[in-house]
Amino acid sequence: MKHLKLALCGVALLITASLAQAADLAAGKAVWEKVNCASCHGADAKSPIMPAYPILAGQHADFLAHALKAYQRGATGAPASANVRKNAVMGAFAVQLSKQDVDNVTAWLGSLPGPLAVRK
Amino acid sequence: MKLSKTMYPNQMRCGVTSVARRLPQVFAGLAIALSCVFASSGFAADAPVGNPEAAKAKVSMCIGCHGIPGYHASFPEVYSVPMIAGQNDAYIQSALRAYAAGERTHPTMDAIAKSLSDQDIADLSAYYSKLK
Repeated sequence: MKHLKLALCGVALLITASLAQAADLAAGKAVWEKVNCASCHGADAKSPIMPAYPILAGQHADFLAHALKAYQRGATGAPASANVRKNAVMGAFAVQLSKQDVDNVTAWLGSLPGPLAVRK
Repeated sequence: MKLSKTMYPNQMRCGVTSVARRLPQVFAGLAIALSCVFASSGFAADAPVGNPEAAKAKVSMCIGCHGIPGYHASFPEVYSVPMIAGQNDAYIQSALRAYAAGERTHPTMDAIAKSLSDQDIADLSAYYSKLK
């Protein structure tokens, strides 16, 4: 009986965890739409309006989160040694995002199919 | 008035003949003006053309991080190094130039980007954008 209860607890945890994950992706898509990232990066996040803009779809989520944090640091006057990105457009968007927004939108972008790969 | 009436045809003739005599110079001037227009409308025209084959001798400094699945950078947050194979050519160039100019900072990438010539940047970007 004890084991059954434990197993049920485990299953319940798994379900909540996967639900939480799904909610994050949906919230991430909402961030993408709210800030209108598609206006430059393309509706599918891999067809930017200019080739000088990056493909985001399928990129490592933690790298994209790092990039947004570096834009935030760059826009708020952090020293160059703090690993910053100085870009007027991306800096202005990045500072509007909370930490949760950054985690959600980058998780959603990383989950999208895209052409990027690790190759040499 | 009289003077101007008699001068007018003379001036005309003088103008036409001088233009005709200067025709080569006029064409040269036009050519220079046109080349300026073309040069300013697309400065990429005089940028080096990327050669993916030439990049093969230059990727050794990239593959130690970008060619290793699961490779992570650790400052100031821990994150996977980006996938660059299949990324847009022009974006890779812009990222490398931003590192070289100090608009984007990362100790390793700053040093590497500053060591690259315009031709190196064009070659590496052509190589990685086509590597799918």
